[in-house]
Amino acid sequence: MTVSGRPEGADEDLARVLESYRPDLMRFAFWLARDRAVAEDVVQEALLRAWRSRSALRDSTVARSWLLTIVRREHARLFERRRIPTVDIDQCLASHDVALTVADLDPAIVDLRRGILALPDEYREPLVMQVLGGFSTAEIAAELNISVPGVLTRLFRARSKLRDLLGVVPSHDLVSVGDAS
Amino acid sequence: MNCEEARQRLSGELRAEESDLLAHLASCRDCQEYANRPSDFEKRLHRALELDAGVLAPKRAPAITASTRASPFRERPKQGRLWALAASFLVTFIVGAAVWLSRPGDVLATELVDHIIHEPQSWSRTRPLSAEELRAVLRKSHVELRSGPGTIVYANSCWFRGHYVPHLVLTTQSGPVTVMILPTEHITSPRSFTEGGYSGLIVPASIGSVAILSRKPMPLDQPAAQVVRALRASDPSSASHP
Repeated sequence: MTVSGRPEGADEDLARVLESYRPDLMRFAFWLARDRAVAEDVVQEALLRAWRSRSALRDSTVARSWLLTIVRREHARLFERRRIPTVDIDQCLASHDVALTVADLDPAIVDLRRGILALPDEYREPLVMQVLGGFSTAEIAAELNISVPGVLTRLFRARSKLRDLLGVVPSHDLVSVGDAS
Repeated sequence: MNCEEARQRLSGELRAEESDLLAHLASCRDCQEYANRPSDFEKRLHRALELDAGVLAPKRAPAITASTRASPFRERPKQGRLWALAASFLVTFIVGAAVWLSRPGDVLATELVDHIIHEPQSWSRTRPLSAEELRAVLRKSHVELRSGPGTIVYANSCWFRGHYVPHLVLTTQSGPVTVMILPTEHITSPRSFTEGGYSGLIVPASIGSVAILSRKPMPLDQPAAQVVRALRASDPSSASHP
């Protein structure tokens, strides 16, 4: 038995499960932080935090969303604690590291990635939580401490901006909807 | 429900209970198109967010330890910690350099060489000194040399580090060596050095220490040992009556 009271094999299995989510967590953290080094810090700290409180994870099938929530909170905590200055989006997009990260054979995907990076935090975060994290709007609302309609508005605006960027907005679409408050 | 509300909802996820939205979609062609069209956009959005895991992989992935008592997820050094680490290395380097430069042995060696450079004539002496001449020099520093250290061809009482110390030249089989008897310089272990073209050895003695220097690399431990064995404090009464 280990110090946490779990059988030793169970702890090792859990460590492997947590580790297997690292790529997902890195993607998630990168879109939140827009910086690979910060994302690595956030993920490592989140995994450490998750490991320390592993007794709280009763069902390993929800490990992914549990970890993503820890990553988001760790990211928020890191920014609050370190008072990291707002990312200069021009510098961010011009950096070699980001260029390497968003690279793709399809130029439209690269544009879309750059568009996502350029989104304001308040739009980018719920979008990433929804699309990449698989969180429901209610979960996002609870996590971001805003209303569900507020989340829907932000998701709508985020998508509108990205559609505009890709030029997929048809003429009959209600562009004014995206600008409505 | 109007189109704006409908499209905001469509940005979220459809739930079965959202009957008002479904009802609106049933009656609004624009929103039907809007609801159906994003599939391609959503695919691209998913693909855009699914960054290459290989590119994002940490440079140093932590290994899962065999022992589960320890956390398999080690804390990474943060940027701030790295700066602190770098600063501590810098401070350590500066302090280390300062300590290195101020090492007593090295300073002593430098001062010894500086001193003997100013008495070049000492190396060329060949006439053995009389016992009385030697005793007169040694007496000033309250030391004596018993027989054994070899032939002494030069002796002078020199002002060195605030004291008069005997400065001698001995002839050995390998050539002349300079001996500085340093009653007030205490060291714990022998130290050899090379300084200004001179080879040197400083050894602890019963009275302070003894420094031996030569102008070429040669074994100095034997003459040093001979001097140390021969060295002793002089009789105080004889010191007061030169």
